[in-house]
Amino acid sequence: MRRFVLPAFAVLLLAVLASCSDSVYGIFQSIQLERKIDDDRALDNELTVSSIAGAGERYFIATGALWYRNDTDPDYVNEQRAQWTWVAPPAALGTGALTSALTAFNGAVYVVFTSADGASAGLYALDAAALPDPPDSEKDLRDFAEPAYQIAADEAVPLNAPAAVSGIGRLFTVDDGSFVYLIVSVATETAGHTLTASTTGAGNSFTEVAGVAALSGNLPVTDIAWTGAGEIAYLTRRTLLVDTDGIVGANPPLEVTNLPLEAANPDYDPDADPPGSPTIVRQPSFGGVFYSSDGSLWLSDDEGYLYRSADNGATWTINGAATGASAVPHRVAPSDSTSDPLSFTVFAEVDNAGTPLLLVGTSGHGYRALGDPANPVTPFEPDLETSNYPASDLSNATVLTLFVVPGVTGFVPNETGTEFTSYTGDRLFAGTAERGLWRTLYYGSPPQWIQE
Amino acid sequence: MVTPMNKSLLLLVLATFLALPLLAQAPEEGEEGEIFVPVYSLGDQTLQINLGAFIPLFFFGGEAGVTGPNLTLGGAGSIAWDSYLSSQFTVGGELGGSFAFTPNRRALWMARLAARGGYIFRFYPFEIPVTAALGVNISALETDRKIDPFLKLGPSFFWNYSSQWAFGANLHYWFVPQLYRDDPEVGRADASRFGNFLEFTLSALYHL
Repeated sequence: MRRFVLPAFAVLLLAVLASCSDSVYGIFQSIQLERKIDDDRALDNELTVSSIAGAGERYFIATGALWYRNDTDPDYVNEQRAQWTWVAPPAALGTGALTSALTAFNGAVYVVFTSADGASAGLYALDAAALPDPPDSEKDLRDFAEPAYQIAADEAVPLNAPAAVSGIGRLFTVDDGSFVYLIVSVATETAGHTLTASTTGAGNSFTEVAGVAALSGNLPVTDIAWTGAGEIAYLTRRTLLVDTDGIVGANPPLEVTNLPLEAANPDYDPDADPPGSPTIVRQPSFGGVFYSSDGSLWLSDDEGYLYRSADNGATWTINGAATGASAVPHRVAPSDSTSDPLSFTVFAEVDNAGTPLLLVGTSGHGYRALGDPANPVTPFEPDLETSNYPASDLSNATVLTLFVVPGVTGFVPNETGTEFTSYTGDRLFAGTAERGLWRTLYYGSPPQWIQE
Repeated sequence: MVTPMNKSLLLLVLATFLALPLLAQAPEEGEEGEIFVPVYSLGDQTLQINLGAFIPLFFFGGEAGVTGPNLTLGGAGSIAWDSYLSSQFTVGGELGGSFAFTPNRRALWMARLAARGGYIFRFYPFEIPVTAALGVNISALETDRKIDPFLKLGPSFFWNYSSQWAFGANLHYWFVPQLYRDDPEVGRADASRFGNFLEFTLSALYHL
C-alpha cells in the first residue's frame, strides 16, 4: 500500500504547486471576481486609437480614419446614446488617405492626413461644432458604411514655415503662458525634423520653433509637455529638450544631458579577465513627458524607468527616489526580478475626488497609477476585487494616448455591468493599439472601464 | 433569450444525439430481436465517448465566500476506458476536457486525466453505473495555467442497444480544489478557490 501512497502524495503535491503564471490572481479567483465590461458604443474593438481630442461638444479620435461623436448625450442609460461616425479624407490625397494625429485648437479640430503611399500629406481644420450630428444609435447601430462628412479642399491649412515640408507628424496644442499655440511636427527635405507653430491656426501663419531642429538629433518630436507658465518640454525618442520662457522666448530650448542613465552592468564579472565595467550607460527609448500639477517634470522610458525632476530638468530622481521603490526597473510582475521591465508610454493626471492621481501607460500591459504626483508611490494597477480593469483587454493593451476631460457627469456600471449610477469626476479616455478606445470616470472610487 | 452560445450548445447536443446511432454497429443477421442479458467478468473492457454540457455551479473560498460561478454554460467531452473486475465493479481511466466563458468572454479551458472506478446497477435492458474519478485537472485562462487535483462523482444511465453497444447519459459532479501558495514574489495571496461544476453528457459505450 505504501508504494502507492507516496507517488499519489507526490502527484497531489505537484498539482498543488504547479502553476504557470506571473499573475497575482488565481484562475478561479480571477473568474470569481471578474466584473462585466460594458461595450456601449459599437466602435470596432480592435481599432488603433493614436490620438484623442475634444472640440465643439464632440470627441474626435484618429484611428487611421477620423471618427467623432457628440459628448453631450447621456452615457450607459437605455436612451439614445451618442454614436460614432467618421469623416472621409480629403479627395486631394486620394482614396485610402490615413490619419494618426489630431488636436483641438480654437474650437476647431486640426487633423493630419497622409496619402496611402505616404508621398503627400496635408493639415486640415474642421469646424467641430458645424459637423453633422452622428446617426441615431438606435436606428443606425453599426451603420458605418457612409461617412458623415467629406473634408473639403478649402479646409486645408498650408504650412509656410519651414520651407519644403516633406511630411507631417504629430499635432500639439500648447499654452506657454502668453499664447496658445498649434504646434505641428514636420519633416523637411533639407533640415530634418522640426516644429512649426501658429497662434491662430490659419494657413501660412506658422513660424518654426527655434532651437528644436538643432537639438532633436533629426528625430521627430513625439510628445510635448507644458506648465502654462513658460516651461515647455519637447521629447523625441532619444532626447529631451526643456525651455523656460515660452515658445518664442529669448532663450531657445536646451537639451537635458544629466538624466540618470547609469545602471549596473549585467555582464560584469569581477573574476573575469578583463572584468568589464561594473556600470553601463543605458540608451532607452523615451515614451512620454509630462508636467504634473505639483510642477514636477516626468519622463518615461521603455526599460522600466520613470524619471522625475522638481526643477525643470536641472536635477533628476529615478524610480526608487522618484516613485518610492528601489532603483531597479519597474517590472510587469512587481517583485519578480525575472519578469520583463515595463515599457512606459504617455502620462496623464486626473483629479480623483480632490486628490491628484498621476497615470502612465505601458506597452502591452495597460496602464499604471503612481498616486499623488507630489508623493508618488510604486506603479500599481486597479485590483480585481474593486475594478473591472484586470479582466479587461485594456489590462494587456499598449496605451498610445490618454485624454482627460475634467469635471463631467457620467454613469458608472455596477459589478455586473447592468446598473449604472451617476457621478461627477474626471473622465479618462485611453486609446490603445488594436484594443480600441476605453473610458472611465475617476470620482474617488476604483475605476470601472467601458469600451466604446 | 437564446444567445448564440446557447444555440451552439443546443446544436452540439442535438448533433450528438443524431450521431450516436451512426457509431453503433448494425445488428448482424439473425441477431435482431435476440434477447441478450449481458454478463461481464474480469478482463472485459468498454470504451465510451461522452459529449455534452458543462454547467458551472459555484466557487467557494477567499473573502467572497460562496459565490455564483460567473461562468456561462459550457461544453464538455471525454473518452473513458473501463475494465471489469467483476460483473458489477469496474476500474479504468478517462481523458477529457471542458470549456466555459467568463462575463467578458474569456475562455476557461480545463483538461483532465483521471483514474476511475464504478459500480453498476442493472435493470435489463438498462444499466446505471455510478462512477468516481480522481485525477489531475489543467485549467487555462488566457496565459495562466494551473494543475490541480480533481474529483468527479455521479451516475450514468445506459440502454443496451446490442451486446456491444449501449447509449445513455452521464450526470457528474466535479470538485476542483485550486490551491495556491501565498507568493510574495508575485504579490499573490489568498488566491485559493474551490470550483464546483456539473457535467451532463450524452454517451456511447462500446464493449471491446
